[in-house]
Amino acid sequence: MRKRILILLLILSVLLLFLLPIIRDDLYLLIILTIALSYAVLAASWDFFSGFTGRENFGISAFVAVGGYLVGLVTSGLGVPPIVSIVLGFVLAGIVGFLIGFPTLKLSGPYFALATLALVVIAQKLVLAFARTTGGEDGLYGLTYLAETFEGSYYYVLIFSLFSIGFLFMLGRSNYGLILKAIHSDEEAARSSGIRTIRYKLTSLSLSAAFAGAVGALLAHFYGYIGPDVVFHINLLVIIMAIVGGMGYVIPAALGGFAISLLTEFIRAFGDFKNLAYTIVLMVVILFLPGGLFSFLFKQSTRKARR
Amino acid sequence: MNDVILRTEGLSKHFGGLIAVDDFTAEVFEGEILGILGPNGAGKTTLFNMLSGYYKPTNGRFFLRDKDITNRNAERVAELGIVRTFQIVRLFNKLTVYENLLIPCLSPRMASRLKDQNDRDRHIREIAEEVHINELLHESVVNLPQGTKKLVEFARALANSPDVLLLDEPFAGLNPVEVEPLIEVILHFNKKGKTLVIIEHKLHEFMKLVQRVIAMDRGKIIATGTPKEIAQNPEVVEAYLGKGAKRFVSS
Repeated sequence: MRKRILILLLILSVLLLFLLPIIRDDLYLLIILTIALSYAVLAASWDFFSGFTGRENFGISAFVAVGGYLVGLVTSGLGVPPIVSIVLGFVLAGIVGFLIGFPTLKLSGPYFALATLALVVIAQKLVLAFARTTGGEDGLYGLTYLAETFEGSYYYVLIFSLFSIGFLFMLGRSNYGLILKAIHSDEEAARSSGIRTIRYKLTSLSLSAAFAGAVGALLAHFYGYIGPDVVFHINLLVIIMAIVGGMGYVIPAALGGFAISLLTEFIRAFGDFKNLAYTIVLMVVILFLPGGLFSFLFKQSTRKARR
Repeated sequence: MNDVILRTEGLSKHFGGLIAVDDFTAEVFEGEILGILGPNGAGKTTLFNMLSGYYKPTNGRFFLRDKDITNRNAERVAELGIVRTFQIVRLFNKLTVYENLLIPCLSPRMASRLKDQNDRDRHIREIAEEVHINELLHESVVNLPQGTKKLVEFARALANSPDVLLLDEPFAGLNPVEVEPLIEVILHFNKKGKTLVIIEHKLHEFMKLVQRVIAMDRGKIIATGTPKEIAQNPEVVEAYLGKGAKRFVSS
């Protein structure tokens, strides 16, 4: 019964998102929703690797940068349609994820986390060092827009994010996701059960990075612009979103991304105290709802299944 | 005597200056329960860690049915058919009992034998029934009592259909009431033809369980024989009780 209500609620909210541009002619709302939806995908993709396997990825913005700068530096200039550059961003960021994971995920300890952190620093330095090509702090303007109207872009992002989150969610619920969770619980025991754990960690990281890259390309086309301010401030923010939403089930993390992104708009007035607000939200959630705000959606149903 | 299923040749492991296992040469016969006995620090777990692919031996080799598998990593060794349990139970704590048993069914070894979810389901339920945990399949493993956790771990190892099952101190941390069901299922699976190697530092547990014992001390084999022979072996007694005990036993 409860599950049915939740599913109904989910369908209604999705429907509402689809009908919104028709119901209300509010450009500002559409823009913040578009951004919130892209953040939902980022939080979901972060969760799909780090929440499932327990290995912290501190470098998601590096993967976003791969997709974003691919558009800014290459595909937009070539006049490639956005869908193609999103796919290319997906593939390229996936490859970068694989390359960073291959040497570091075999090791236990903090090496992987450190490598991802280093990746962001390197990406940041590269953008500034090659300022003549990348635009440096100013970024690159005049990129192809996602669609001709804001409504068009909104629908583009809405469909993309529903597809991405749905895909990651289904994969997370499959046997593949179960193996990732087993690795999180006890990697040694998974290995002695005959599971080639490195393959699972690598594929999940690559997929997670790939979706981040796709979002990077998407955002670049949405803004018609790519610069350090689009990419690098989100690094810790995405982690906070996933933790606040709840890890290990994809959808709670996505909801966390969506909710915090909207919250960001409302606390814009706080100016420099914005980060303080994030931190307070994060601490309150960790202290009082350690599983995250939205993980109750899934925990209840598993407890029910046990009976 | 049955065929040799697992064989080691001069297996050694050094940690810097410490020689944990020294020139270990032995055979495991198909269908037997072999006990490896030794006081703490004798090198038993180090030996298991080598046989299960966690440590690379410093010297020596080991063979599964004449196939040299010395330098395979843990997942490959499990895939080839040597599966272990751990001294301190290692379950997938976030998962249910059923899901714990499902994980080995998804390994490459079992993927070729269990084609779809129906096959896997049948396989899991069969084992759960034989280990008497079928009532608990949808429980989360964290809340189970210690004895039941050991049974689940044993069942998970069996779900991999191992050729050789290595049990690292299966009775550690269990009370006598919890030991009985575990002994019972071990004997049950041995009767069905499973080969088992069991590490233990208490000889008492071995008496009704194992057919053959290899006694170790300070990394070396000091005696081989039936549990009874081992119990009367002066060297074993000395390793356990210290010097002077030898005289005491012989008198």
